[in-house]
Order: sequence, then structure tokens, then C-alpha cells
Amino acid sequence: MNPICQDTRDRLLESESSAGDDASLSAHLAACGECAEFARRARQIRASLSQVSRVAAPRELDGLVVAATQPGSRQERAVAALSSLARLPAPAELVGRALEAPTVRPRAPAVLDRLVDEDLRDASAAMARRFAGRLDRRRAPPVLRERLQESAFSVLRTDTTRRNVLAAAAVVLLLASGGWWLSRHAAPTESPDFGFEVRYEAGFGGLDPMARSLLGGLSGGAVDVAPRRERSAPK
Amino acid sequence: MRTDPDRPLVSACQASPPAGLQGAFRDLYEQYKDRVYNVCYRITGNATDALDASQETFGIMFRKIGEFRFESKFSSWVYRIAVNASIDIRRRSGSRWLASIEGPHEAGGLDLPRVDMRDDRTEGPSVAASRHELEEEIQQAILRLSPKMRAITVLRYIESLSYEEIAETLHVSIGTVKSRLSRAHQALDRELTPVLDRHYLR
Repeated sequence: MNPICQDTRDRLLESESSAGDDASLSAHLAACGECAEFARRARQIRASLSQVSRVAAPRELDGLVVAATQPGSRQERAVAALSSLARLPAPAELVGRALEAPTVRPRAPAVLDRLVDEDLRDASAAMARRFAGRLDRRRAPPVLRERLQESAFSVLRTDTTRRNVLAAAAVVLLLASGGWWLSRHAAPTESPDFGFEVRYEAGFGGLDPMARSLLGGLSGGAVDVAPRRERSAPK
Repeated sequence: MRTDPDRPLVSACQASPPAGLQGAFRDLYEQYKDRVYNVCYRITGNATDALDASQETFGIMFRKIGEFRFESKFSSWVYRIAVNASIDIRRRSGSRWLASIEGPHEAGGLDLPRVDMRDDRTEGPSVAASRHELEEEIQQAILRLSPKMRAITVLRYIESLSYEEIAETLHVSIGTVKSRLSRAHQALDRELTPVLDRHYLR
């Protein structure tokens, strides 16, 4: 907007008389369509605002001002103003209904005693019980999965970690391939022949020392399994 | 010393401090109650807050009239109290204010008597309804202004105060009055031009 138009509009707003009284203003308005439109709107708004109905003070204001101008503290005046209000009697129908209404007073259920007792004993636990079930189960947002994937793969992004992982993979591969190679190229080993031998012994002396010890242990020492020739004579 | 039309009544109040709403103070009250209430109503936007602000205005006027020194016009002093009380009450009742945006008349629950400037003209029901609708739109547009611009708009366009009186009332310079009024006008132009075009063209 050029300065002339700006000045024209300022003068239009400031001027209490019409633009027709000002020759230079009228000349500019005749030449500038935008400013002429602005002048039209300004005139319209001004006329509308000045024709808004005036609201008269309601009668309530008299009482309020009387209260506000009475001697005494403002609180006392406010109480006086409130107490001066007319007290409306209750309608007869309401009074009748109130008298007819049965006076049934509901009793608190027995479980209330226990619940209150629990609450008083452990307030935090009661609070947790009361609200834990009401919490909404939130689902993990999709962005969390993306972040986790990013963080899992981000481990491989550092050089040291990448070297360690690659070395471990190489060792595992070497061991697996080495085992496979050995199983294919090593000489077959001779498997031992296992068998059973049944032998009859008349006394414990003929038994294997390990068998004798086992038998002695099982009998709790009740059976004398030691060979006679090993038995030492009292001196 | 400027001549103030209210000087005799104010001086009478100062000479014998009023003991209530009586005597010279009652005359001042009768003279200003509609103007004060109108300003309060246009600034607060609802009847309840306007009543509170008006009561506050006359309460302050009653308590402070002895200290008035005629350094400004008495009317400017009264308007300043009314504007400040209205802005203050509007700030305090912010939540109620939001509810009242829907309809300033419903909020107060009062059937406001209107002093129509064009009572001598007979208008049909449809014209009256249309005019009330337009007034509601204008009131809503005023309410959407900031408190300072709202006050200046009400004083200028609804109370028809001069720039000097507005400057005296709001304790600002005439330049400030002009710039605020210009900004208020721009805002009202945006808000009201479509409404006025629609109203006048139908």
C-alpha cells in the first residue's frame, strides 16, 4: 500500500465528518477504487456500530447499588443484599410428594466393612488394586519395532563388534568342517568285545577284592568277607 | 478550569458525603446508570457480568467521589471506572465468559430492556428480528476484540465519545487512541464486512 493510500485511510478513520468535507480526500477517493471501497466499508461499520441498541440498566442494579453504598463492611453489605432477596416457598405439590415418599434408607453391604478395613490397613495396596485393572493396555507403537530392529542391526555397525562376530563365525565353521573331515578320513577304531563269565565259588576268598568289598558294604559288616590267611592273629 | 456539567452534583456529594443512595449521589446514579450499564454490557458481553461491573463501578464511585479533583471530566472518570471494572470482571469470569459467547443474553438470564434509538419508526417483526440478529453479530465481533480495543470501540462508536474524551478516560495519548482505533477498525472490518454485506443485500 502506498503512503498516500495509507494516509487516506488513517484520515478516513479519524475524521468525524464525511469525506466530502475534505477536497483532497475526495479527490483521492475518486481516483483510487480500493480506498473508495475502504471508505464505503468504514462508513458502513461506523453506522452499524453507532446504531446498536442501547441497553438500559435493569431494575436489579438499583438494589445492588443500594447494597454497595450502605455503611458497613462489604461482606456485611453482601449478606444484607442476599438476605433481602425474597424467599420462595416450596410448592405444595413438592411438599406433598416429600411426605408421601417412603423413608427407605439403604444399608451398606457387609463387604464394605472389609473393603474399608483393607484400605485403611494398606492404602497403597488398595490404591493399586483399585486402579491397576482400569489402566488401558497400550499396544506398542509400530515405531518401536523399527527402533528395535535398527538397534539390533546397529550392533554390527561398529568395527570391533563386527570383527568379533566374524571371528566367532569362522571358528564355528572351522570346527564343524573339521569334525566332518575327521569323521570321513580317520582310521576306524577296534571296538572291544564285551561278555559275561559265570563261575561258582565255595567261599569268599575266591572272589575278586572289589566284589568282596561290595558284599561287605551291602551286609553292613555282618558278613566276614576277608580271606582267612589275611586275618592277623592277636599278639 | 474546564466547565464540567456534573460539577454541582459532585461538589454536593463532596460537601456532605452521602450516607447511601440518596440526595445528590442518587441524581448522579440516575444520570449515569444506563450509560455505565451499557458500557459494561458491551465490554463484558453478558448481563450478569455487566450487573457486577456496574455495581462495582457505583460502589467505587461512592467511596472515591470525595477524592475527585476535577482534573478530568467527571464522566471520563466514571467511564474509566466502568471500563476497568468490566475488563477486570471479564478477566475473573473467564470460564463463564466462554460459555456466554454462544449468546450474551442467555448467559445472564435477564430480559434486558432496550432503549431503541429508532423507537419512532415502526418496524415489522421480520425487520426487528433481522436487526437483532445483526446486533448479535456486531456484539460478537466486538467481543472478539482485545479488551483494550473493545473498550475504545465501545467508547468511540457506541458512546460517541470524542478522541480527547477517550484519551482522558483511558489515560492514554490521542495518538494511542488513534492507533488502537485503527487496529480495532481493521479487525472489525474483517469480521463485520461480510455480515453487513449479507444483511444489507438480502
